[in-house]
Amino acid sequence: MEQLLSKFKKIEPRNEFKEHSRALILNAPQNHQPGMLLYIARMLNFKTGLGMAAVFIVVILTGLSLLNQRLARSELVSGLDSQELNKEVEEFNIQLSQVRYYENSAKRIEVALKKTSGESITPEEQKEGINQLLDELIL
Amino acid sequence: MNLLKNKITKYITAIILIAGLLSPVIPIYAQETFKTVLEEITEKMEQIEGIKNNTTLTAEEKAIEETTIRKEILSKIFELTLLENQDLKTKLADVKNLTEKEGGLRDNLLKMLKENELVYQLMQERLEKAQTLNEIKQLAADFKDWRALVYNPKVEKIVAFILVFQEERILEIARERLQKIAGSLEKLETTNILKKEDTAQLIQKAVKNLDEAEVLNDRAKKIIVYLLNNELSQQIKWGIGDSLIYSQDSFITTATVKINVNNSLEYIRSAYKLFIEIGNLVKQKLNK
Repeated sequence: MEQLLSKFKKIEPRNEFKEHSRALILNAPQNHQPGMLLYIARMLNFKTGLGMAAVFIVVILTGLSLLNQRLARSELVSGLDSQELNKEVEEFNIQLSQVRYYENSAKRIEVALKKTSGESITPEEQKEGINQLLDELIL
Repeated sequence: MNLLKNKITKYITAIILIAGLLSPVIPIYAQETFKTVLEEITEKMEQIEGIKNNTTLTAEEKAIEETTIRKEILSKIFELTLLENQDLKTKLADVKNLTEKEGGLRDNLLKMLKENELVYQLMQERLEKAQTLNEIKQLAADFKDWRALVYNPKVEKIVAFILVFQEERILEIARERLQKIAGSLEKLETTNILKKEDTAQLIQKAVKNLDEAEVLNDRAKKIIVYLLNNELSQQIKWGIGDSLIYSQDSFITTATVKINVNNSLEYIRSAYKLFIEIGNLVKQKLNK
């Protein structure tokens, strides 16, 4: 029995078999794929990084110039919008018309008081009645 | 602590903004009341005609009706005069950016309005006591004379004063608008949508117009200040450029002030027409 066991100790595969198995194992398909991150990380060397930075800069600059153009157009809208300009002129007119009321009212009220006091009124004064004053009140 | 401060500031800003939005409405409201009172006066004046032509009434009845209506008309005219008084007070108070001297003149004008109040009181008392048609007619005649001799001349000066400074403010706004437009054009030029030559001439014209407007407004101001300092219209020296021109034998009145203000406004209107022209030109270029 002891002789058998010591014989077993010396067992080795044939060289042929050794080589064959080794080749098989080494050439067997790998089950584990490297992950996307690993793939990208491999790409992130200095050169690629520089290239990407350049691209980003161009994109940002283009974006900024487009924004500038947009803003320039909206500047146009705010500064030169004809509606706004006309509105400004309208406001001037309203302000001034309120003061202008007094230029006409004195005569008209005089006519009204003349009538109330029983004084006779000329036809022109009759024409320049209060109705005209009402029309001239711009509201 | 800072958070609270921010909240309060925001709150106050909001209130001020809302008040600012409402402020253009308030003077319009005053004019609305003028309109209402004037309409009432017109209605009642027509009623007098109606009574006169009414054949169903006796002479006595007519007299009674007429007295009532005439009294009401007179009362409405008083009311209108008081409204005018208040309106002018407000407009005077609204004039901004006065020098000390000009502020002094404004105070004098406010005093003139205050003096009227005594007369109103007296007239009101007489109106309440007036019973007969003749008393009403006499009161109307007296009020007419007072308005012609005292009230209207005061109002003319006040109105001329307000006009000059209102127009000055309008000129300021026009200049600000021009600045805004020039700034916008500069920005557009950087984007190469526009070239400077496209709008340079128009801008120049606009500047010239506003400069002319300023000359006329200054002239109007000189005249009204002179008039208010001296109640009588006299000869006046006015400077045009470096040379002095004497206006001989021409009496300067508040009408002269208004003419200058109106001419100044015409230049401002021309400037705005140019602004609109520039706007259209730029729109054209943008749409290309």
